[in-house]
Amino acid sequence: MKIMNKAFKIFKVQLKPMLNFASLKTDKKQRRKIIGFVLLILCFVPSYFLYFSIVDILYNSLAALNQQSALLAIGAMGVSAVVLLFGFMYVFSALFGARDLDMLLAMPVKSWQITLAKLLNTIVYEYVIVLALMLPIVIMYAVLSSAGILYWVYSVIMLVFMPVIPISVATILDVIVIRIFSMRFNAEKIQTVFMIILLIAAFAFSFLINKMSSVMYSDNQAEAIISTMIGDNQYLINILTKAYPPAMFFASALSATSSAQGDLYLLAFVAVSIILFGLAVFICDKLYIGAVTAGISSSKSKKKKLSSEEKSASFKTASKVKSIFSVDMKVIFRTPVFAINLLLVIPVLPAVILISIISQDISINTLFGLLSMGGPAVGLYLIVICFFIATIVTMSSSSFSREGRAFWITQIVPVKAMDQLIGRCLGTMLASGFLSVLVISVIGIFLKWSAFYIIALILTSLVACAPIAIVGLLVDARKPKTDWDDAASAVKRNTNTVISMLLAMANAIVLGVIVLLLRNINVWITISILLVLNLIFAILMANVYIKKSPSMLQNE
Amino acid sequence: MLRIEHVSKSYDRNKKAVDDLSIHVKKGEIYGFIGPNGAGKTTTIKMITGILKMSSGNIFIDGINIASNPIEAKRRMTYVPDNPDIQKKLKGIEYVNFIADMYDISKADRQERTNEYAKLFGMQDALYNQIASYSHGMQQKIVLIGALVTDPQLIVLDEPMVGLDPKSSYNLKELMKKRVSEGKTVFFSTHVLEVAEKFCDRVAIISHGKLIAEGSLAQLRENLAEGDMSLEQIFLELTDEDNE
Ligand SMILES: Nc1ncnc2c1ncn2[C@@H]1O[C@H](COP(=O)(O)OP(=O)(O)O)[C@@H](O)[C@H]1O
Ligand SMILES: [Mg+2]
Repeated sequence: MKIMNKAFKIFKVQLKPMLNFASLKTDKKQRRKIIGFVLLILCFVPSYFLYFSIVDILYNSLAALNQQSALLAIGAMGVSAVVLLFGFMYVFSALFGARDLDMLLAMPVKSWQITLAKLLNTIVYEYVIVLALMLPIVIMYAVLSSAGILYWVYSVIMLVFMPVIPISVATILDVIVIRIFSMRFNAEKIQTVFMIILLIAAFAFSFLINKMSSVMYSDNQAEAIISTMIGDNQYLINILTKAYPPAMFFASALSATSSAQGDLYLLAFVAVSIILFGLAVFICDKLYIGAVTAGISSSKSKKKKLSSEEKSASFKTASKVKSIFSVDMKVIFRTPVFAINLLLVIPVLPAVILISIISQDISINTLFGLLSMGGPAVGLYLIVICFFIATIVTMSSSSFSREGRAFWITQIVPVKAMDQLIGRCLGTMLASGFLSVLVISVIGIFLKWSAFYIIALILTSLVACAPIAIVGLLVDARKPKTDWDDAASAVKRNTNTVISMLLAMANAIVLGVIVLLLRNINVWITISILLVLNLIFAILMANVYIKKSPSMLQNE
Repeated sequence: MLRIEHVSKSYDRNKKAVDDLSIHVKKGEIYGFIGPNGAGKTTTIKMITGILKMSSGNIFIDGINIASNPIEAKRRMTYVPDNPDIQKKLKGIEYVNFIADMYDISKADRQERTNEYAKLFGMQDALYNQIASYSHGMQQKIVLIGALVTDPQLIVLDEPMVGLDPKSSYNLKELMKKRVSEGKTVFFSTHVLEVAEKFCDRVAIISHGKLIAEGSLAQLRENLAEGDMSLEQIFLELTDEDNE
């Protein structure tokens, strides 16, 4: 027990920052933060009641099929999935973002005690999620099925163990990933990894939903299934939990509290949790802490010496425009925060469209049906949609801000405003152009428009990308936000990107209104008008930039 | 080469950071711009290089007005700031290539110069690593290399010796001497009198934004011996032990 004591002490010390409410009294700023937090929670109260009523409806519809216990399984699966997702990040930061590790390792504690303490900590943090999501389900189930005392005892025990399995899985996967790549993760990288996992999960989820709904619609054997369900109250659970058996243990234990089978499921749930957790602590201790103490955790320098030919080849000349553009792109790709905020939106949209088409989503078919009824004029609305899509590309509106304290280089180099403009708008133009080309050509080909018409539409929306990009650049040149340490403030907390996004939207609205007003006139006339308008706008903005930017880019 | 005419700068209305400053730096000289901390050196240098707007006055680089023809003026000079803040995500070589592109330096020239200066500052291998992995001194050196690659008529340095190791500091001084012997011009600021000694052809001493004295250091010491009180005060400040 003495050994466990040490682990528990570390655990307590680590927990403190979270529970340290005593210090709040003295700190006014902190107190204001807490008040804001409470208000935020209060805002969620109504939607929480909504959650309760959804659970209620779900229970009743499942009860009609004699499948009410599936509610518990669905809840357990959902919560476990959420805990797993957050677990990846929590475990990452607990193990790899920890600055206290060196200090802890220097203390007279065993390394597995540190691991245990850290993982227990992560689990405690997850209780917030578990309780918020599971309480309504557990409570509503108890009330609606008039459950007995034993149900409550069982559910408390199992809720305590609920985050253990997903956290153990997350730990094992995290540690393995780290060892494979033998990387030292910093906060930036953790964020990137987490964002990518989230995105993949979101895509997988929408894919599954699409698939399921199309299967449901096409299946005429629904009646047969329903009659099977009424006969077997475990039918749905068994289907749902094939992927994740512990959810079945959870649901079955709670739905059969009075029988011996219920006890067995409870035992199975707890046993699997403990075994997996033990495994996670073991693996984590051996693979991660073991590696740290042995001093091989840090990335090995795999840099090879460059030959003199390679060195000579690294001197390359490029035009000013190309050089500005390529440095800009290199910095974006090498700074995860920039890449996530500026580039990730670009493939997301096409991916959503692609998934919808692959999974033969009904809604998209209906959409295409409706679109084809509108005739070629639909193409014009499509361009307007492209204008709106283009507003999400905010590369140029943080172009100068992104340089941060290196902005002086832009201020001193002898480069013409026009070269700066092209070099800095090229990325935005390519990105929003890519989106327009994709959306218009996919839909155009589906609706069997003529190639000439598709090309005309693409050209029009390409030209329309230019003035928006230049306006963004102008907004950023006016007051670049260069005084930052944390790259996120250049792209996320930068009013320039917001302002130029709003301007781009206003522009899209105006163009949309023009298209609406001209809807009864020949399509080609409207296209010509849009082309000319955007060309004039672009030339105007470029001239403003050329005239004003040299003075704008100087400090006051 | 560099002519500053009645230049003033006030960041806020009531205080002038630079007050009616006039300096003329001739072609082929090393010119020291000396003053205690907060005297207005950095402010002046930022106006010379076109980073900062001036409130009044004119600055000419090789006869070209920086305000009305900034591109032509900037083509003739380069600047090494007091803090080496550059894009950390680039490799040293990528940074140098970028700067060279901005000044239209040919491949052969940039290669020869980069190799020469990288060798001088012990940066041959570091050149191919990301700047984020550099120490502060190495970042200072890559900025210097970037500036020298452009091989300009006028090089403007803000407190160049601060933070450099003694050997690099010595090398930089030798390099500056070599440049002026080739007819090029060096303008640098310092708050330490010793740095300027035996190295500058002429110096300007400023305090609170105003020019106190100008000339060769020997000449200034003569004036001092004759009892110039304001100069004595400044000399005390500039040679103060705490100043380093
Ligand atoms: N961005 C700024 N805003 C307001 N005041 C400034 C700014 N930069 C410098 N100053 C003030 O201008 C004066 C001169 O500063 P500076 O040129 O940096 O001096 P030096 O480089 O000689 O140490 C100081 O009083 C300083 O406080
Ligand atoms: Mg200074």
